[in-house]
Amino acid sequence: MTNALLDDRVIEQLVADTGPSVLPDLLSAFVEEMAELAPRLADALDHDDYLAVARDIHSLKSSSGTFGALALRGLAEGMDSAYKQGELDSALELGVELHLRIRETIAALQARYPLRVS
Amino acid sequence: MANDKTVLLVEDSPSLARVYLEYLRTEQYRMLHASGGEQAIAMIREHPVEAVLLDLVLPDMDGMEIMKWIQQEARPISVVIITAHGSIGRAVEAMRLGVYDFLEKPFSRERLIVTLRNALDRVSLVKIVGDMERTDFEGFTGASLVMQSIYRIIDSAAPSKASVFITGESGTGKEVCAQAIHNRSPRSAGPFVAINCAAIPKDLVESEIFGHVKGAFTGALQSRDGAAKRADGGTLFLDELGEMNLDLQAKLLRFIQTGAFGPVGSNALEEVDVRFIAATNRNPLELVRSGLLREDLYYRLHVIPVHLPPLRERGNDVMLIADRFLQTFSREEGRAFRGFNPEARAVLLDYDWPGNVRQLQNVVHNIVVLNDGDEVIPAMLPPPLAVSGPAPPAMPIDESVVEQERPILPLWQVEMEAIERAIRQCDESIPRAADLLGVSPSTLYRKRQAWKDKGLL
Repeated sequence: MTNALLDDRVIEQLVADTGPSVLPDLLSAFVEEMAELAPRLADALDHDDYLAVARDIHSLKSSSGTFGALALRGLAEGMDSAYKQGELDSALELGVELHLRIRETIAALQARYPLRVS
Repeated sequence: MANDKTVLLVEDSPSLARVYLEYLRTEQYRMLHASGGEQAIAMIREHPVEAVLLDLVLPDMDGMEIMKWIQQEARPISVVIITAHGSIGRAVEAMRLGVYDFLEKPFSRERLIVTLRNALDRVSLVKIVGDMERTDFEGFTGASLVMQSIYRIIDSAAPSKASVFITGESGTGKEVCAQAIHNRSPRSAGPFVAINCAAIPKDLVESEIFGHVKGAFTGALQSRDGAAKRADGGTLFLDELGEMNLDLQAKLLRFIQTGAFGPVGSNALEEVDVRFIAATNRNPLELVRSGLLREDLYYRLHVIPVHLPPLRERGNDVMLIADRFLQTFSREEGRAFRGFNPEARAVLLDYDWPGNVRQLQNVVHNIVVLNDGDEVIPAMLPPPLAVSGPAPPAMPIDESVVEQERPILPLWQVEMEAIERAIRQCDESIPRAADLLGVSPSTLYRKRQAWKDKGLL
């Protein structure tokens, strides 16, 4: 099933490629990474640290694609493109939305997939 | 089955790194993971990395800088760029720098495995082709597998400052090896100073190495720098280390440990930056056991051992080297030789070459000086080869007569007589006799000393 937040086919492929027993570990690593990234990104945006923002967005673009986080990937690509074209206002708007989507994506993953018990 | 390939993954995202490492688990490579550029370079320096999966956006540096560093160091590594969607332009730019391939994220397990296998195959091919091409290497001539491994050891040892201990029979090229290490090192612009401890009278070795101040001993009319000072910023090669007396070995050990030494007759210490290479034609552990080499000095110097093979174990290298000497000497002596005929080749390949490359050099020089023609035939070969060669004698020989005329002597006696005769014919010059016999002067000094010790000479 595919909804706006997650592409289940990507996660199914991840299971096929790595094995079901590994999935909780992989998804947990992704969730932890996003949980760390959200406040760091907010801080970088607050301080107009565009280099740090660009680096995090670049990283998020790749990881969200690999874990089927469809909505996040769309936003990250939008921000990346806005930065590259110098549209800072537009990038900032997307940044606010991104923060929200990260929380929603984490919640969706926790609700639908087994994560590592830490 | 375990795989002996080492692969470095450079990826700052922990979750992606986990996914890629899981993708590659079945391949059983030795996987290393670096989350930044500095860490990646340190790992490449420390491990035999053959392929790098390289993310271009890293927290501490641009991944392209790592690629440039690998190129500058000329390391045999295949690099596969892993790039974010929409960064193809940079990947293409990287391909121009010599990157093998690129993967656009997200990519499947299958795509990663195939790309990496191809990248590793390319490294193997480059290595094989590179090795096969190396018939000449920093003064060595030789395409045999055993010499390819020597070239690789020299390549690996050269960039470091670690001490090298070269062993090998006389005439195998120990000084050529030391010079090769120096030439390929970052100190190549500095001096290469070679000291043969066996060729210098024992009383003068200390002064030769450490120098002396005016008045240090009778005849020291001027202060003089020794090899240690002259090698500052470069390499000091100490040949026939076992010939050095033990007191001097202790002083050498302190010099290696501290980088400082005092010239003979001076209390002041001088500091230099020197890389040490030592050599001996004897088994160094035997030297230690027999008390001729200090154990602590041996371990201090024996960081990177290089054992040069005797010529008889180098297969067809004999002919490569013989052909090369024949060209050189024919040019120098104005002869027309263009090669060895098949029978002469067979004799050269069949011979044991106890004096190794130096003996082969002398044999070819002898042939060129005493003969001329288009090609070398067995009849032109000088005695040790003429006797052992397969060429049939022109006249049948009555073997019983030969047996009667040549009583069988112990081998040491034959050797001693041959050496003493050579020294007499060379007006008592040991270096000249050694040259003609195809061995190093130190071998003659050592053998004669042993015979003298036993009262045989």
